[in-house]
Amino acid sequence: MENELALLNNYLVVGAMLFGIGVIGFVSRRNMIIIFLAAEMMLQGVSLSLVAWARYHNDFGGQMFVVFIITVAACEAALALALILMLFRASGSLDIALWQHLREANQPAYVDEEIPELEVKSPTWPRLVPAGRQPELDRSDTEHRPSV
Amino acid sequence: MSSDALWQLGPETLVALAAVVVYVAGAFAAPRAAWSWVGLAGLGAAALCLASTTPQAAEPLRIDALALWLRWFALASGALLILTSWRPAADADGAELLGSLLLIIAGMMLVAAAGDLVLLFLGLELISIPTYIVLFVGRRTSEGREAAVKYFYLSILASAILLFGLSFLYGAAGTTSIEGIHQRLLDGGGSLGGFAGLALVFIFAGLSYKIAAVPFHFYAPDVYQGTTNDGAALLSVAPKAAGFLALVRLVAVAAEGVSSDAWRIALALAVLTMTTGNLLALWQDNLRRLLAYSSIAHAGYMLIGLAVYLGGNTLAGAAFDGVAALLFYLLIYALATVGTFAALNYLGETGQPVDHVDQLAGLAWSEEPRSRATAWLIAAFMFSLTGIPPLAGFWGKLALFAGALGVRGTEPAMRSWFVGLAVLGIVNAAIAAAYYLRVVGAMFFRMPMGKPRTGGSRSVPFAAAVICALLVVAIGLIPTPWYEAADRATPAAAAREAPEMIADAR
Amino acid sequence: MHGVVFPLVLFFASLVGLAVALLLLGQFCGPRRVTDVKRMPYESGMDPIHPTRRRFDVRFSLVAIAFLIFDVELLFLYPWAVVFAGGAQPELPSGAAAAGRPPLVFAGGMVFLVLLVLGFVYDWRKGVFRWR
Repeated sequence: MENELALLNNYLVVGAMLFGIGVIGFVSRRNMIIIFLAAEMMLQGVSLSLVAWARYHNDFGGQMFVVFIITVAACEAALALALILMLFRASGSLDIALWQHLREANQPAYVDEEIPELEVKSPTWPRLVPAGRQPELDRSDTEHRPSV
Repeated sequence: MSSDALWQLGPETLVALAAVVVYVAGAFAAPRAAWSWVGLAGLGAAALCLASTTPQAAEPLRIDALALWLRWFALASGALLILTSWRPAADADGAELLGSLLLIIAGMMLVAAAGDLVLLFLGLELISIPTYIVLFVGRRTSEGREAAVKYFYLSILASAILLFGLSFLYGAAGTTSIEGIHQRLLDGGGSLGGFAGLALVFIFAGLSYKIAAVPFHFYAPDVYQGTTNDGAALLSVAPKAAGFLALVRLVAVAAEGVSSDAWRIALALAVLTMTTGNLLALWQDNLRRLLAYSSIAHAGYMLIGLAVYLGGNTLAGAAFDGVAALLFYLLIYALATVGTFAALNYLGETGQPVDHVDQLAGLAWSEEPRSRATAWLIAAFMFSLTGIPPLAGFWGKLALFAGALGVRGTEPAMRSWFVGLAVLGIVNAAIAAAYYLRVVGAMFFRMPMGKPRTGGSRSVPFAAAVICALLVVAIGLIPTPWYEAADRATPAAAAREAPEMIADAR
Repeated sequence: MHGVVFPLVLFFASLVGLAVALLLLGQFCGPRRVTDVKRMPYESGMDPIHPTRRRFDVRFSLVAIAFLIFDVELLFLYPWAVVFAGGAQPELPSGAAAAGRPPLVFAGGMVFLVLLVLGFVYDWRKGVFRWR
């Protein structure tokens, strides 16, 4: 019994930590996919503590609950992917701060402080000495398709 | 899940079946009006099934008077919502919108019937997930997308918080059955009882999102503004009804006696919610934004009922039970709000919804008789939401405030807290009058701007508004049977009848 | 006792010693010349054709979403199969209630699968699987 209580404690602490990390990620990140992942992490924390409680009480209700939580989370993930995809098509960015047109009439928009532009340098790779037979490439394999 | 429970879930199954039919058949053909008929037929079949099934205890379900009340409420409000969002034109996404609406109704009924944490959570999700689709598909503009993304992210946050609370409730009691939790926690729950108190806080936080109460209310104005009028009608009824029922089930029934301070949380939330909603509504010009703040304020009024019930121990002659007043108010609020949105839907044209107070200016002096009638309908709803005596809203507020005045309380200061709550409620109702009457004033005392609005062929939403208005007037004239129906559904009434039922069984 | 343990200790000590010695030898004696060719992302001798951070076609995401749903729903088939086969412990309330009525259990699973098929039909009609 002592052992079981210690085990329960440990799992509850880990579950609460996962939940807390999820909350922090949810409120501090701006990438829509990462926000969603943070919410998923909160759900995992809940699931972990439910399973720990189920073991402690020797009751299967908690595990059943977790199965349903996982399913609902999958449904939400599918919807989130679809939603994010549509928003990305509309705005071309995953930044959630772009979606702030609905607000109180006289409230100013939230504007970023100056963020230095990240220098993106496309790397130049050396050409290798050709050897062997030239592979036959389909044009569609090498071309960059801009349609997303 | 035994086969008894499956039979008891017949109405929910029929509504969900109608949703499946609409979704799948809608992928083959897309006449929107026809699917609306299918939806109404599904609701009718569910109503027949609900009326013909004798309620009976079946393990994961909890079919009591409260469940039956909310199931009838869900069916009736669902029918009104279908009429509100009725569109004659063939619409590519009509089937998806209607199927989602039916699933939301099934979710409300499932929340009502749930006697288990798992079913309760599934019911709440069955309301949330189709709501995302309604928000996104309903209005494919930049505003619609923003409303969908805001609602979606905050909704999953609230779900996770609620689930965290449920996990602690489960941990404290060791069972997922609500009745089982009630039994285990009545005596304080032993060494794990502390977790139940923690659970209470998380449950309040998670569900206050659904009912748009203060810590999680800030999504409401943006989302209402960004969606269509029928979307806003849906948002102001379905999550609110289900959220309040879940609050009653979890806080007032399952965790009864866990914490003597539960009424303090409800009271504080009630005061903050109604004051915030009413004060911020004063500055709004956008109609849906205004009604969103009004929705927040009314959630605050309804929380008074919960606080009264949790405070318990009413004066000997107190006539009003807290939960009964809550349910009664929920019905009246839903009628007035759905009616308002239906009337706005009638006035708008496809792609150009009415969304500004100025657009209603001079509506009462319009050329077209139906538009004039719409002005009177909206005025009736606004007066009911304000709480002007001959209409239903007055009786709802009376029941809530008189209930708060009737609390004697177990602690010395408790009675004065509740008297203060009632006084604040009345002050709030007076503040609210300012913005509701502004809408009425715009319709009756201002010159029409631009061309007069004509409803065109949208006669079905107009009919929905008329039905809502008739009910608002009817409840206002004869409130007693409606209040008594709500009163029979409360947990207090169940507790009164429980000894008799045990005696009958013997 | 001593006679059995000592060879084992010796064996493991030499094992670890050899591994560490070989790694250290490579570390100290091996020549390291970093050339452009060595820093290339693929060491297979193929020229890279474009950076790896490119956008994928949207149809992959559609398939991923459909897969996600159908994949996770299978989670329910495992407990269903166990209960149907009568493998559930008799003291489990849910298992006990259901195990008495295998036809009901079977029908429940079939209804679930039919609903999944309906979802598939919906996807198919909406053109999720149409590649071009």
